[in-house]
Amino acid sequence: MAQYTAVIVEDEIITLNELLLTIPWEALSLKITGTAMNGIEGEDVIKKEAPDIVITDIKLPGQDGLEMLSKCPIDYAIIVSGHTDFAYAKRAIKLGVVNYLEKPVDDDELIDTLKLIVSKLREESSSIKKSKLNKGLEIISLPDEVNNHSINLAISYIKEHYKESFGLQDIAEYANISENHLSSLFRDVAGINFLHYLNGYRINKSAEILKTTTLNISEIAELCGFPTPSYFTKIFRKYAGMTPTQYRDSIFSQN
Amino acid sequence: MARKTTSIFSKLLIKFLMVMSIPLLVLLITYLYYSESHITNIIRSQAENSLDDDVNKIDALFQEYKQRILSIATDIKIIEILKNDKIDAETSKYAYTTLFAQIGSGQYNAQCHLISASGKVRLSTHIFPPEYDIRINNNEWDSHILNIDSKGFSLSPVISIENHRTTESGKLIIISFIKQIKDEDGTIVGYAIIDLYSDIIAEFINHATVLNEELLIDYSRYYAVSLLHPTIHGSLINFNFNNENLIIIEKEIPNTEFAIKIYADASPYKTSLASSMLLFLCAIIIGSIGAVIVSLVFTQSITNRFKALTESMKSVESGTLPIMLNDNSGIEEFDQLSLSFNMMILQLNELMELTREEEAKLAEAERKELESQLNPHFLFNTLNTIKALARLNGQDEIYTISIKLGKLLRASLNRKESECTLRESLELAEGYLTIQKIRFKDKINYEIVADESILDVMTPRLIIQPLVENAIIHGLEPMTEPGLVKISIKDLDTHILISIQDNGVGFDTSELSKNPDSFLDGQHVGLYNVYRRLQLKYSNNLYFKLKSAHNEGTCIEIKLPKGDSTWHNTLQ
Repeated sequence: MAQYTAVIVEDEIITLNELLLTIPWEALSLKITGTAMNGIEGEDVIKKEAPDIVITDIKLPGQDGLEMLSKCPIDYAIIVSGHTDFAYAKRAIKLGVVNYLEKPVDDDELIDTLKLIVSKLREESSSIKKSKLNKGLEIISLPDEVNNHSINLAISYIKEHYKESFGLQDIAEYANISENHLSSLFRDVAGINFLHYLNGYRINKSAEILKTTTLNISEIAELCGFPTPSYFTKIFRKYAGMTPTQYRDSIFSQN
Repeated sequence: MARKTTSIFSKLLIKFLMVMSIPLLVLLITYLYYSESHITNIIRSQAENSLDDDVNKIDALFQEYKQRILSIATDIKIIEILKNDKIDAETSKYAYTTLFAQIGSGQYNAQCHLISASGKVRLSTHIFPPEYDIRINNNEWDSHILNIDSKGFSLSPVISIENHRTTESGKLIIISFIKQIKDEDGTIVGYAIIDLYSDIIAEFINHATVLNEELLIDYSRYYAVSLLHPTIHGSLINFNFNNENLIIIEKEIPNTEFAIKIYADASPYKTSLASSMLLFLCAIIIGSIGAVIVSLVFTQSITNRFKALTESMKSVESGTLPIMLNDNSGIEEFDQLSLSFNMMILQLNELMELTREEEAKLAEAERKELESQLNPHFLFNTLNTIKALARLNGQDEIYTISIKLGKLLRASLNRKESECTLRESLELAEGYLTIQKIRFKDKINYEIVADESILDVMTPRLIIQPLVENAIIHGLEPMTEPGLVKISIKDLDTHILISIQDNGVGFDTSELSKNPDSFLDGQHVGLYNVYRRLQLKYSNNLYFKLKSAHNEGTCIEIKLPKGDSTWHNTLQ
């Protein structure tokens, strides 16, 4: 069973230790790849490790948890906080936070949330596997054109802007429909969710560059719109089943 | 749109001026319109009076002299003389005596002449005027008379105003009376003539100052003579006064073709009217200036009070309370206003005093609260640390207590939302029971039975836990034996039945049934709070039943309508 990675950011050593030692990470198919005790350190660790899950407090020295999350490429995050504030919760949801757990944290709730995220991650992996070509030119097969004007607009936007940093809301604005509607419409029409499509497109582009140039990983990450090289590596591995370097090596050895 | 506002000063001033200028204007208009016509009327009536007078006098004069000339013309001896056409000393004496008698002895206002048909006999009280000499002017003169005598010359003497001449004594002849003298056969034997001097006219004619000119007109010959200036005479055509200021009136002399025409001149009066108008205007201007000054003074005196009031109001607005206003101005309304204002200020002062006190109290309370307040975040974080330590040390009960306590605290602190799902309510109650169970171990037991189908229905928060707390504190804790609390939530299709039952000590409900408000007393406050909140929400749809008896336990049943609340849709 595949293992997913997680990073914990928590400024209180006892709580951090408790999380590390008492949550059955291995049983949940998770591995803690990094911890941090303040917001700045946390940002560095997340960028470096590109974990699948971030578990963080809000009140942190340096910068608060939400600010930290907003600066990093985040797939899933869980907030653990003594504060219950509607404004915090609203901001957190926009940053891809799956659950907002109040301190004192009920371990059962935390474990349930982690299980939910792991199952989602598995689902994603399997959907990537389905769309994988048998060693063709592209790593992921993506529909080029669909039967819907708005989604075609979205696809053309992705093709044009993949080098830049943008999100669902930018495309929603461009196509003039709501974010929620675009999200579900994209999944229905293209058979793949928006984020997968964007990541897949970037990965395809990066694979092309890996094959045809000798540019290093950081340069390729930047060219393809990935915020950090480690995040690029992580996503690449997720989609291609190997690291970019391994992929390049395999291509060269074939030739 | 900004409304234009004016100060009370200018409004009052304008209104005062309007009130004052109305009589002035009316006076001015009346003066302008009526004075002129009034003057004209006075002049006209004066002229009419003097005309009537003059007509009467001239008429009397005519009658008198007609009579006189007739007595000459009918005198038998005179006729005899003229018939004989010669005169001797005796007859001449008689004739002269007769003639003089007729023109008035001594008062020579007239001349009398007698001439025979042939012209041989010519007698005169004065010098016989050559103009009357038949021998010279025969045809002319006769035809002249005949011309006049178109309506029966023989009966009445002819009156002529054409014979203007100045006598040798310097008198001006103005009117002549001419009569043919006939014998018994009807033959014309001679003529008698009386010439009147202008003096006689001047004596009795009115010389009213308004009269500009007075004419005696002979309409049979269209000839006129001025009665005021006897030297002026001539054909009527020559008398042409063209002046719009002239008032012209005319009256006939009865039974003649004569008339008197009066020209009265109103222009001097109008000129004087114009000059008096100037004076009047000056008076009005001075009056208006006076009005303005008086208005200003009045307005000032009124608005000064308002100003004082508004100044005080403004100072109230800006927050400083002004000193009292003088409420002895002598004007009832102002005094009332000042009095009210002063009362208001007094009340405001009292209010502000009160508010200051309250504020001070509030600030004190707040200070105390701040001093005593424990930051809930600190509390939750500490609980989390306790929980973490418990976990690290394998202390499961401490872990459970800290988790459940955290949830209970959150539920009581989170007052923003008034409703939650039954599931949440139940979890809270269970958390509470879990803690109590850890504390009292086997002494406290609980059972929860709930129909899954209704757990997502929204109901008011904190309804189950307080009742459970009540059951434990008042029902089970006083007991020495172990006790049981049962919570049951049942789906009754349209309703939800919540029951909380304990087998504790119970209490006497007889008092409660008499007076539900006695819930409030003592140990039942928690119960009353739940009841009251449910009643506020469901009013008549609420079924709330309390059964209790000593040593038999307590049972509370609550029935709530399902549809009254919104369904809570969970995301998963």
